[in-house]
Amino acid sequence: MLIATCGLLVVIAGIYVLTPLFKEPGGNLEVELLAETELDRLLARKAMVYSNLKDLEFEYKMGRLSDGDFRRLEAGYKSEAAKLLQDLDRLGVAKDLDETIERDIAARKAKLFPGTAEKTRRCPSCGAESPLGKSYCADCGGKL
Amino acid sequence: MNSANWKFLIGGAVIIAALSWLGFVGFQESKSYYITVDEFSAMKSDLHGKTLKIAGDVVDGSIERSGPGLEFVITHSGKNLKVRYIGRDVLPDTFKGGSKAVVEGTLSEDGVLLARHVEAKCASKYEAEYNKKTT
Amino acid sequence: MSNLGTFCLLLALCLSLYGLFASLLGAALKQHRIVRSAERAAIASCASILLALVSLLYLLATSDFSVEHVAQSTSRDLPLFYKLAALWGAHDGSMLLWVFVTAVFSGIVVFQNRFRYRDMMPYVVAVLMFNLSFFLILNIFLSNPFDELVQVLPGGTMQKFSPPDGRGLNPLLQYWAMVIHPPILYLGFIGFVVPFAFAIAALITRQLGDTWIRTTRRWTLVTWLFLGVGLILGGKWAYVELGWGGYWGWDPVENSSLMPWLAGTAFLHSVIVQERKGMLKVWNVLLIVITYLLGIFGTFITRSGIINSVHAFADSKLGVFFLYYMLLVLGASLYLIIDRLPYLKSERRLDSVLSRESAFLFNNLLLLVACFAVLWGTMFPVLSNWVEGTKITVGPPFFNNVGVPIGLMLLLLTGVGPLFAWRKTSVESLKKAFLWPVILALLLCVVLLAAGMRSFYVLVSFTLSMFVLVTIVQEFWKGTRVRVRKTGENFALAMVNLTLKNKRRYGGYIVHLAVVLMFIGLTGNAFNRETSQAMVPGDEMQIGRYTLKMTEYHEGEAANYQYGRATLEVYSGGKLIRTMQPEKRFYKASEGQSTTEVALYSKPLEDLYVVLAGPSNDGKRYEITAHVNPLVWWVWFGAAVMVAGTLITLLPDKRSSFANAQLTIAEAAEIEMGVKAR
Repeated sequence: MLIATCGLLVVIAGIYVLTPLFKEPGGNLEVELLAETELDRLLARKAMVYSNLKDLEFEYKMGRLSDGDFRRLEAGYKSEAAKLLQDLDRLGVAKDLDETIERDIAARKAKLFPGTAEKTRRCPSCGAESPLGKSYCADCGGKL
Repeated sequence: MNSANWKFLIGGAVIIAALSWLGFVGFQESKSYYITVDEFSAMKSDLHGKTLKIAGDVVDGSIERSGPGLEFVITHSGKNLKVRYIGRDVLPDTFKGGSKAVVEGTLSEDGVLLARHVEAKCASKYEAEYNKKTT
Repeated sequence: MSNLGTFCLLLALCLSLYGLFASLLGAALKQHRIVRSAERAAIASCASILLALVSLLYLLATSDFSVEHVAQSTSRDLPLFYKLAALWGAHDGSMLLWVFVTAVFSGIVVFQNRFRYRDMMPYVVAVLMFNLSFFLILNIFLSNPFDELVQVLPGGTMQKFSPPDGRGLNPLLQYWAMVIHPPILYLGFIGFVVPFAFAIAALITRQLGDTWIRTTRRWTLVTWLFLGVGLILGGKWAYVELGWGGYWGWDPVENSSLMPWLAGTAFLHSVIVQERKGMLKVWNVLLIVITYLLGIFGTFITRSGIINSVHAFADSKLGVFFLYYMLLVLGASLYLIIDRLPYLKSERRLDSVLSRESAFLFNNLLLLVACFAVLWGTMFPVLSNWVEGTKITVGPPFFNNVGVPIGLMLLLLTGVGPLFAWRKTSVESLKKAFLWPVILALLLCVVLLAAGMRSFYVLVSFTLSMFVLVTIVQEFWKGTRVRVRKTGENFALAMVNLTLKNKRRYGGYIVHLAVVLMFIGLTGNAFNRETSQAMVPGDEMQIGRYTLKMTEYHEGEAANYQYGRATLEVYSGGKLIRTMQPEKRFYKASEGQSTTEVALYSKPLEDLYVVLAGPSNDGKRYEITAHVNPLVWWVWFGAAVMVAGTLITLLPDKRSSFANAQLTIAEAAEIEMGVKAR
């Protein structure tokens, strides 16, 4: 009785644990695709600076900070934020967030599967890169 | 290292130094030697005047009330020590004949330990008397 | 049933070891399906341990005394509730509970993150399974709760043996706070493994932003809360059950749960600096390693019996294993941290000592010094034994001498820290923020001096309490006023919304408020009074403003104990205010173990605490000890407020947050306009 129960437990546990080895797609664990990139870091830092700015303003309104302190700190945060925005600009975020993210994914994929990196084509009218499958340019709408 | 870092380090060092000194004072005040009854018997002569914490088993039936306090005998590895409890706290519930006790106090002239504090071991686990089989 | 239990534990061990290796293999081969399989192993191992736990509970409920654990910690006459609670009445059973909680935590983490952090999770799972395997090995091979009793027959052969009745649960443990105290403390010790696992995974995958901190913030807070509640319940138990009139004795076991709490408190604070300012990155990783190890160390101290304590459950063979495990974890973590130092660079420097950053740094310094002092005092017998060969123990004066000033400095920081500006605070801002708190605190100080209070620490403590109290009230008041102006809500609603809109900050203030309340209670210790008197019915004794009149002494017998009970009438100002009945109980099943049932009359201003110590020396009278402990009530009340404050910070955010920074998209857009307008 005991042996039967134990055997049953082993079988159940074994099936449960080993199934994914056969059923799940055998794909790579695409670590490079998931890892933090420059874009993630910049966005996170921007969010934090904005949040700091909001807190600062609130504290000032509460009357906890002198005018001088407030202006000094605000200027510090704002120049920090401006620099982050510039960096994000450099990555092309300010233009269109969706496009940047798509480009980011493409870059990550390129890192993973080097063969696929060239699979874009340039729009004849505006010069933006579009994936091969698309027939219209995402940037200006012109026919590819 | 900028000046704020230095200020922080100096502030921290001052705090730590002050606390260390306070800790040292408290340590001198409250340190006591933790020994068992047989170790105590072996080094009796050097222990006069020092605060001692002595561990042993309370001898069954040795507990008797005398005068203002309570007297009992603790034992370990065949050596015995007479203890007179002079503390004011209520003795712990775990204190009884046969229990493991730690007494804290100083040695009197007549070789009796004057205990100001008695701890008895919490019997969270009762020592097994049965033989145990490991499965 | 006991064999099934052991088998389940072995199966769980196999599964967790499989999980450990499979997750590492999956990460190395970048094969997602292997990692999935490892995660399933973690969950299956949890289920298997649950089965083991259920079989032990079944054995306890049915009083199967052939199992050693059941025979040693229960008896037939015990109520069912205590029979089940006896699971953690002896240490092999409590180890099973420990393992179970660890497994459940690991399972929850795996489930929560089944679609998230796929890159970090293999390492998180590996750390969790490593931790679980270690405790399972200890549990199975060194303190198996399913061990059976055997008898050695005269011929030398051994035979199974089942005694007619068990030894019963230690009556000292038969008290509600003591019944729930160990599991809660365990939740607190164990939970730090989750942030630790994420920190290690972040180190390995080199993702040392604040992702690992944000992900585990709730785990850290919940764990910290449980540890705090566990500490308080332990104190409550000592106060109500042990009868010596206090709640904290600097006992090694108490200390060992205080240390991870102190380190955890430091961690909770210093992560804010990393999130807000990108500083202290190395320090935070180091802190969580220390906190986790102190949790393990706490278990080690309580289980190994390395230090003599009223709690020590002697079993030294466990000690070596704990020591090696801790050294291994420490070594591996330090190696990883040093190797990843380039990824842990601070983004900013400290600008001024009068800044919030610096307040956080001092907070961390003090908490860690406190932690180190407690560690030093607790371990001193062991250290001196290694160095000199004599065990030297350290008593409460050491801990109090160091602990009281640290506590007061922390109390001061509680008040000033949140009001300092980041980076640098000008004198002008300081005036704006601290004018009223300083005036009111000094006023209180003068009043106390005039009233004849001369004790330095008491004066400082009350003055600082007032100071911090005013800063907190002022924060709520001013914040609410700003909100009222902005939204037009009425004051009460605005205050609630203000708190809910920034739960972390205002929940934190409520926890700070709780700290103040607890300090008021702790300061009350300085005024404790105590009197003892041998009495017969008709006698009276005086303590403080109370007169205790003994009216009766009664001996009787209940289901599993005999008792002696004194009845005392308490008069104050000539009026009868209460009848109190302290008891002394003698338990039959537990070899005549006795317990003291304290009679307690608790009011916010002071507790009257009466103990029946037993018959007096001549045997004709009864020794009554009465304590008046002022302000103790505030310790328990403060603890309740602390729980409430922590729960508020834990409330989920309903609003869509802008990248975890508690900003709505509209607010972010507004700020962005401001930045660009420059």
